[in-house]
Amino acid sequence: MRVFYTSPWVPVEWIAAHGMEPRGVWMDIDLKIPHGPSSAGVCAFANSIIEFSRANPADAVIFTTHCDQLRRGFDLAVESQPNLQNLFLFNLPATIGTEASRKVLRNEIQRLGQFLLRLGGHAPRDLETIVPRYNAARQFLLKWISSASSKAGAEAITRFLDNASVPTKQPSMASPPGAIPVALVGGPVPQSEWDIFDTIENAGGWVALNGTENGERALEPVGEFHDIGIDWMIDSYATRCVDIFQRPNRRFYEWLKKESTVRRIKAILLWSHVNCDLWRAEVQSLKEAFHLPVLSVETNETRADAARARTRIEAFMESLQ
Amino acid sequence: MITRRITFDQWDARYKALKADGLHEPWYGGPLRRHVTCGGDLRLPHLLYDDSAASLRLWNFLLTENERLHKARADGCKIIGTMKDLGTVPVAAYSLDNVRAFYPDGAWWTPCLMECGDGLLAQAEALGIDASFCPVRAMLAAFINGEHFPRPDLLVCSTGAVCDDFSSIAQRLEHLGFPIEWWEMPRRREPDGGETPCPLPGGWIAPQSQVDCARSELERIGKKLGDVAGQTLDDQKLSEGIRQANHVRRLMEKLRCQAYSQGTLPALEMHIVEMLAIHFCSDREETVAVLEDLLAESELRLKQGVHAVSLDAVRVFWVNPVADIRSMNLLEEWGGRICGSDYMFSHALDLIPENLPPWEALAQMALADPMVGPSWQRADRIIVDCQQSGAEAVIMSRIPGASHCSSEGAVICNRVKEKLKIPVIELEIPPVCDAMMPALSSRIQALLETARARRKR
Repeated sequence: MRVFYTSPWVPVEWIAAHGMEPRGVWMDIDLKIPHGPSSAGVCAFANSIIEFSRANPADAVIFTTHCDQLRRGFDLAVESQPNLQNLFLFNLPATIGTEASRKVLRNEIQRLGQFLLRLGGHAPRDLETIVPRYNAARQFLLKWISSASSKAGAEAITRFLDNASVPTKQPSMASPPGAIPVALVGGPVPQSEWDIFDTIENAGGWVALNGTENGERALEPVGEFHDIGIDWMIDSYATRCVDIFQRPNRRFYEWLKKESTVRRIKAILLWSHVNCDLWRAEVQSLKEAFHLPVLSVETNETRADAARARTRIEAFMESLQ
Repeated sequence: MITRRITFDQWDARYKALKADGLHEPWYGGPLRRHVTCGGDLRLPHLLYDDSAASLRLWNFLLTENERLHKARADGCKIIGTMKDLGTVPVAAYSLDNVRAFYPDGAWWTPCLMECGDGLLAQAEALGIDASFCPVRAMLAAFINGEHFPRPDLLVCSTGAVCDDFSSIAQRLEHLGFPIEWWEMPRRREPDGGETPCPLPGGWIAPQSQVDCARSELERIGKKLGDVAGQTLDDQKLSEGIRQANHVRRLMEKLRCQAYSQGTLPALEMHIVEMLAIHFCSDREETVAVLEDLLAESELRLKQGVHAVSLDAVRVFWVNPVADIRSMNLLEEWGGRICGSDYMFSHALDLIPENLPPWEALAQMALADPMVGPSWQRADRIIVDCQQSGAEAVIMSRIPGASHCSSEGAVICNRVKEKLKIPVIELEIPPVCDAMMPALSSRIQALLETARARRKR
């Protein structure tokens, strides 16, 4: 059975260990960002997930609590989804390193296991082979994308999240000659929105660091492989998670500082969906923390208002030259 | 008989008359007008007021909160800024001696009271938090400009199952150099099979594991509070704090019961009364005194058969606090009256269990927060409250930019309509709603007319 998950911080190894097929939502062709006015204030991505769960009642969908929109989106999905037993809300703790956050994570991993059993999964097994396999794929991908174009890198990561696959071909090329290295940070970038990479390249830049939700952060390495079980899973995901929703969110800033220094990033593009408060609130803090030019790009701008977005990005890149 | 509702200008003469009759006021008392002339609360002249001395005391208590906090600081009290949980951490903080806890979130009413003359919203925008966020962003600017409340000795904020806009604003605050002690609030859910259930105040049930999580977090925060205060927040102190909080809640419940069923006090004053529940407006003992005065007034009116609003007015259940308090006046002007409310903190009105270990009791209360659980649970409680109060209509006011309003509004409105078959509307009320008056009046009046028409069936 396909089990779609909506955050890279849902332990996919645990889903696979129950004999289910973990699938990230970012690649799925049914996932479309609804463009146009979001007058109701609902985030377009959360709205898409609700629609996706309605349209695919035979699949399981794991919502997460990492944002208010998805958390409450689950409530909306429950109200209208005929197949309630296929929906699950995974409570991702926001705090870091506390006893409570570990307790929450433990409970959720156990509950997720029960949910998967109810769906017909088997008792967890083969974690000791599944975990290293996922880890090896993450490490491979981190290396692979360093030599790949930004769009190919985004695709490779998203395909990995979708079906645990890794590219079989050598990457074609990394940066276009003379292009300005920028970091793209922000929320989920589904396949349908990957034009953003072309737009940036056509404007004279390239995404040297993909810090979006389904970008390189999702490849953060896991810990040592010993006693792989629930405790290992808790430790691994509690330390791997690097996201803006965490409180405090300094781990994201530290990650970005480290990676942007290594890659000599010249500017930051912040990608967010309309009505995504979590990311939009960080624009000013990013400017202050990195002393780099920051451009905020909202999803509506890349499709319905593509020309305007292109002009903004072009002007932004021009100002960096 | 209906009591006289008076304008701001009429309060001058009324105040003189009350003084002539021997009105005794606490030190923060005085004529209402000074809050406009000295405090810049320009909204006050546009409101209609209950004319009682008890209501005057309530207004003076509310409008002097920052002044009282500064005085408390000068008197050596520790100031705790508690954010987002709306009613939980203050119970613990006030269990300690010489500690005042307040919600910086409360600054969200400042742009309304000062008709944006405070510039807080514009300043928040300059700090990167624009109008797409909830008006609580005023808090951010108030921290930076230091012109309102004193800088707290400790800032505490719940996170996890909270509104994104608030959480983002608080995180921005931390980036600006205000350290925050975050505590995890799990998203409340029903127990799965095999999990130990724990009944919560208010009637919901959560798994004991979630209560344990909240308890361990609150104990951690309690330790921090004690460290700041230089005292130990032990079980005995917290138990006493809970008893005192419950005393406030019992008074509040009596008052709500009389005001909402018999119309003894108007909607505007009652909205403010309910707000006292979350942090006692920075003074727990004085809150008791204010509530006792109001209750005495309410009981007197009951005996005399006097009402603040017509009992024939359409009984409206109101959901969510309003960014512009004038909207409470407008509802009554147009023929409605509040018969019940859910201003987002019903957990701060329910009694905290006194027969449990105190941290366990506080954790249960925290988890009973209507905003941390599923929207349908909040809807179901609203439905029960509507049935008990005989609500003829429901108004769900949206807070501009608040992330929870967009999704939960649909769930709540649909459930209420389906179960109760009464008219329901959603309204967005900005901090100063004057410009939206035609739209507001059309929608509210249409709602009230619909509800009235249903009486004739």
